[in-house]
Amino acid sequence: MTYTSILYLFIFLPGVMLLYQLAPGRHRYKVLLAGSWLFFLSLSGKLIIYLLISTVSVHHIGLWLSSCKKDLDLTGVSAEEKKSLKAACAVKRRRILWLGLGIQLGMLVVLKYSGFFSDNVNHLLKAVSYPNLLPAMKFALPIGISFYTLQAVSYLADVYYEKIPADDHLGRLALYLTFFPILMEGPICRYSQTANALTEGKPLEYKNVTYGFQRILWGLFKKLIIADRLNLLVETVFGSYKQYGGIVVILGAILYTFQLYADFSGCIDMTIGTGEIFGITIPENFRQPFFSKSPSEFWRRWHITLGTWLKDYIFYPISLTAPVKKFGKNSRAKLGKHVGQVVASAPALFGVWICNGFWHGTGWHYLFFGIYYFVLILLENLTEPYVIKAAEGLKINRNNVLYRIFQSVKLLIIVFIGELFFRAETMTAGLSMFRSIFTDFDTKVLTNGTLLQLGLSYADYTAVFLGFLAVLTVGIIHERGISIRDKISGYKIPVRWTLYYGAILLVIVLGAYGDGYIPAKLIYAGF
Amino acid sequence: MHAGNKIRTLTFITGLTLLLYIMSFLFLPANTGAEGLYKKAGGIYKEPKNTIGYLSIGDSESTTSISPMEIWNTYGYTGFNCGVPAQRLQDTYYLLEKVLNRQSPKVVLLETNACFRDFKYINALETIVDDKTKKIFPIYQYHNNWRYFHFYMLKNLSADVTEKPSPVYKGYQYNINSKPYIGGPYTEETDEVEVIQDQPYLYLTKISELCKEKGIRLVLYSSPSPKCWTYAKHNAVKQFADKNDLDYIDLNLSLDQLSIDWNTDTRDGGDHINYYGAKKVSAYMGSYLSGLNLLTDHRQDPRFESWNNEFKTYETQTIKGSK
Repeated sequence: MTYTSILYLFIFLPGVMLLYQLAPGRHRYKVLLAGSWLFFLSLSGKLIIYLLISTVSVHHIGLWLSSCKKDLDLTGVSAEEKKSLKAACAVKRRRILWLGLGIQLGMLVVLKYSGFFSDNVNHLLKAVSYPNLLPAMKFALPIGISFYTLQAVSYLADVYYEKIPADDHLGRLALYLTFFPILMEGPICRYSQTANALTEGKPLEYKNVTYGFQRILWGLFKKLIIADRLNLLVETVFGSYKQYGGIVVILGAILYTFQLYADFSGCIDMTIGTGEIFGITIPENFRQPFFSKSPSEFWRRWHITLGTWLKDYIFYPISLTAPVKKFGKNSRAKLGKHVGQVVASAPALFGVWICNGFWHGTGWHYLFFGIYYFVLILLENLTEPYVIKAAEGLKINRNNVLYRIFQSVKLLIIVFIGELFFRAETMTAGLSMFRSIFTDFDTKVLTNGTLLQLGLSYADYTAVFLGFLAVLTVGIIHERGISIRDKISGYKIPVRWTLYYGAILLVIVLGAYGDGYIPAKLIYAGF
Repeated sequence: MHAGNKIRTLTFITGLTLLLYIMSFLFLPANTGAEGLYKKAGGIYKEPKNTIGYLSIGDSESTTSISPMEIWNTYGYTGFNCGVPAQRLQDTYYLLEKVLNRQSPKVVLLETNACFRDFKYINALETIVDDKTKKIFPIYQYHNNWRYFHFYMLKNLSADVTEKPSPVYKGYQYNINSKPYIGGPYTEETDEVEVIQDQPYLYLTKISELCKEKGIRLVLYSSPSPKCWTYAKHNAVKQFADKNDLDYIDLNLSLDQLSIDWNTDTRDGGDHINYYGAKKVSAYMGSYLSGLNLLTDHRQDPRFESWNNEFKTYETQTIKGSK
């Protein structure tokens, strides 16, 4: 059962809505929790045990972190004793935090990364003619483990830093970790963003329900019409990459980037829409990323919740460690304010991008993807003042349309190259494909029918193009700060309903499902 | 929710239901010139009663591997390819049960890939819901016919070859797309045995029992497929075949005998074979069926004249397509 199936859209979701509405307010969260666990069970079966261990341990450790400080009795104690008691408490809390993080990240590392680790150790040993030391390890992954683990980690860290109080309500914490719309692809929510709304038990409201279904419909449009259709071509090009080169590989990289965007942002639309139905505001994860002008801006608009998570829980903690602070001080002293500052940020930035790469998967190409953006963003930070000076010197207006087009094209090329390696089956495959762009470039493929042998027909290309135009138009309107849904809700019923019926029909008719299409899994659900 | 909003919601849903119901007619194969696409397994019910000598059943590995017209041409055996892409064994069982109400084949060829299809109850439930939806709102099944509208409306205009639905001959959909398999040899022997999950195992047994009950010779076969096949799967099927006293033909172990060329005989890089591969597999299976001495040659039988006519069309198509 996925978010695009008939079972989910017409039976599961309406069923949960009905039971939710019928239940008394204080019990409504139980309906959502039962629905979420049922959804999890339907996808991962007995692997729910990992989720339950995560939930119970996070709950217990959060309370332990909190009680440890509350139990600290400083009445009638001398200043020196106070200091030593506080220090002991801090040490204890840090140990409890590490224990909590160890349990959460330990499960993720063992289940997701042990195979990668054992394979590479064995490869190294093989290279020096040693027999395999570690057995081949492969574990079944529970759905959404990469997402709910990050949510669990952020909860523990926030309790530790006293940004939020520890929650004694196990049901609320369980629902925060596994609310069914966010289970498969996130976004990565913070406890302070969703937990209270999840247990508030607000009744369903007409406006929320209609807005929610509109957003779900938009998500289905992107996923079914664009992403799943492009999947045919992407599978062909990346699956048999040795047969293709030049323009076909470029096309594969471009269309994969759009497929990924349509798939992931489409799923997030469905997630946010489902949240809206129940009156729960789920954070946005995309903000027209292709309108960015630089790699760092792109990542502030693409998978926003992962970016902010990495900033808060990797970048800042690394920046604040004593060796990094010392390194920063020395860098600034030796290299000057600007260069020193950029160099000082490098260790934390490196940590962020290594984690970003590894979070996505266990291939070397994911690691390369992380390092690729680390280098690009570091260079961007380093050269920015010089670029501004050069533009001023050459009297180039940086707000000029042509300059902005140049920036956009440059950014798109950077993104397409990154996604080529990201989607490639291995690092070697990525390098081979990238090389073939230059060694096997032949414009004949544009006219000899090759493009129609990649899994898409004229009709498919047309449907993708029209879908792409719709996404672009909506993006431009959103970029101007206009809410399309508010506009539509202002129309009279005949116009409004004609639009809704038209959109529903469009998704049903042009959706790439059924005969002739491979059922495409949600891409980020695999990370 | 406000009473007015409740009425509005109900009206909207009723309007949508009616719209989908009405729009469904526009997309029916008969109204779009795309009937050929849907003549696959369903076509078996249009065959005259008790005229089919053998059936091939299973998932897409079955659909793509046996062309009954090839076997008709060489041996005169009447067969029908009832393979359905992505079909699970329980659905294969119910399909067979239904077909056997009209036909009395002597042999059933069951392709074994579906034995290893991951079974989850939720997927089975999804299939049921999808099937019901398709029945109530055919637009859900036939929506892809939008691409054929212009052929129906402007049928005198020539259209691009990729837009035309491939014709279907006795359940076999002709397909000459070619995408080489480049992975090298894949049949290294092992003692490992793949597990056939409980549910597929149950229905494999049920299919075997149904055939026994009806006096049908059940033959298990594995179509050449480097992407789907493993030696461990072979071992699992072999165990089942030995236990139930069934013949098992693993074509992956007879690639040289079949002369399979992975550069030309697969349509999708080694997952399924194309027409060229199916021609070789059909020749092999035809020879096997001939060796069983259970089937009758009907080529000279006037009651089966339509088979000769269909073969002529098939021949014209394949000769044209192979140029």
